[in-house]
Amino acid sequence: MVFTEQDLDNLSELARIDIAPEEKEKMLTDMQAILGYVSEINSVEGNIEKEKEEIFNVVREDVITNDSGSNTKALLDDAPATEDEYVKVEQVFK
Amino acid sequence: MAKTLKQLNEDLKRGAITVEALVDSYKKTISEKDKEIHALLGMYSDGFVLSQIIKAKEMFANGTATLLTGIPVVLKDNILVKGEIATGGSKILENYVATYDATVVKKLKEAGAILIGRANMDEFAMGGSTENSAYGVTKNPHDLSRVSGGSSGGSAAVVAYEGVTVSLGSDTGGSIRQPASFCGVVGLKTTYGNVSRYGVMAMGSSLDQIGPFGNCVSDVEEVYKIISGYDVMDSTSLSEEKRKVKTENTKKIIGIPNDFINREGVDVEVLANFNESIKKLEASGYTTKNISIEHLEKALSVYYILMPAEVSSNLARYDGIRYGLSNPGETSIRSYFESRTAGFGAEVRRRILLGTYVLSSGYYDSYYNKANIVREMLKKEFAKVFLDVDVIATPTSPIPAFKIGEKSNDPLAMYLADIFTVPVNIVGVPAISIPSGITKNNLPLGIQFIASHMREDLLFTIGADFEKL
Repeated sequence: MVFTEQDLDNLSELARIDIAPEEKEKMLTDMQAILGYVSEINSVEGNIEKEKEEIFNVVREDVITNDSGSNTKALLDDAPATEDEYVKVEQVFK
Repeated sequence: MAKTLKQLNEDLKRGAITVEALVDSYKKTISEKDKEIHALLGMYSDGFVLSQIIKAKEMFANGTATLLTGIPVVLKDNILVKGEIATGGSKILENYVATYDATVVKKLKEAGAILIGRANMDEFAMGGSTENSAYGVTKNPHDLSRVSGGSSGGSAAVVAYEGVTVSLGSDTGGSIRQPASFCGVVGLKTTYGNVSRYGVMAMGSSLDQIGPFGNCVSDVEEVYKIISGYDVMDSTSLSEEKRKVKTENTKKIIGIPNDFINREGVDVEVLANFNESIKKLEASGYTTKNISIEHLEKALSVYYILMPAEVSSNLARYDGIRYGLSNPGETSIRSYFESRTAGFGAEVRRRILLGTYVLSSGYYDSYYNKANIVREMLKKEFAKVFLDVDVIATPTSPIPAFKIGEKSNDPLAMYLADIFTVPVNIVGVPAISIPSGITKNNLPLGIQFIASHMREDLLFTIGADFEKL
């Protein structure tokens, strides 16, 4: 297992998290140490189909539990930017 | 010696103390001690606390009071209380006001408890020392140069210095049991699916459970009775059917994974204390049995694959758009980067990146899938052991509370300290940490008892027996 600076850059892009140039080296060392340790898992022999957990759906009736609009103000109060009763975001297509 | 819930309830019932006076006395202890310890991130608003006091007094007046009525309680700051701040120990939620009550909050309110404050924690419950809190470390009440443990360090420390008598924490890989052992209090991690996770900030959804801290086993048991139960709002909540387990098993046999415990890195005092505890239990009528669990050694690796995978998915919600810290970027996609990079601390970012890695195409089979295979193997291996023993015992932590800063630069060393607690979350069984003595430097130590699914009753029985020794 080789974990490279390129891997780190790719992950940063995927996870939407910047890694500052000055913290790159430490992050790389830490990731290599952790991945090096957990890679021991590869020595275990096993079959995912055989070991699969019992999987089942959890559903409930789709019932209305609150009056329309009763949570709107509280939810909008937490939003960074709003306009009328909407959350305001930057324009995606310019 | 702190009063038990039963004693406090007696005092309140016969009017030896009023609810207001009880709340004030705890608040006074907090205002004196928390400047130094920093177990709390904040107190709930005066109006909210007052309304709870009024309700508690009504309950005493009309005879509906429970053992928790009028009792001040502190919550880990990842548990939502409607209208109150909940930060999760993160900068990204510094000003976040919860819009609904967690199910445990609803249950505590119904029982008449007085929720008074928010406990410090590692950011989003990621860590074992509270050093990852965006708001500073919680010091250990027994030694201010040392950590309180984590991630529920604040919840453990506030009970240890008697700022409250019971509190709630959450446990994903040991985050209740390890700080309980570091601070010399009792901490319970409940069966997965036993206590509703509705309204607790998700970290590792297949591992997270809420549980109580207290000074004694009976207090923890009382809080447990109130917060547990099926909840339609949590899809992983155990149905009534699955809660029914056979309870005739009282062989008083303790399984000890000797090879697993006698390992490099376990402090000599921890080991000596553990062996002494076991001898005392044997002398009091318990039988011990050496057990071996084939894949136990792999549990830590399983955990540090599955947990970050779930973290990376769960924390994708913090995008700076609907709530939380929002730093605008040049483009809308850059706004995600700016908000998340500024809002998350180093450990959270590290785990998100790790999780993204183990879930990425090309590595999914060798990490995530492999970890799931080993998890299922471990579940079967534990189930087999529990046919022969009532509980499994280990030290809670391989080391006593460490110095602040001692491990904060070495994440892998920090992870290795979870070795005894993590398997419990992988398998989903309940476990309790109970104070078992002190080191020669007066640092508390804890013993962990593990039972099979929904057998918290066995933990309370052996715990109460152990306390008397």
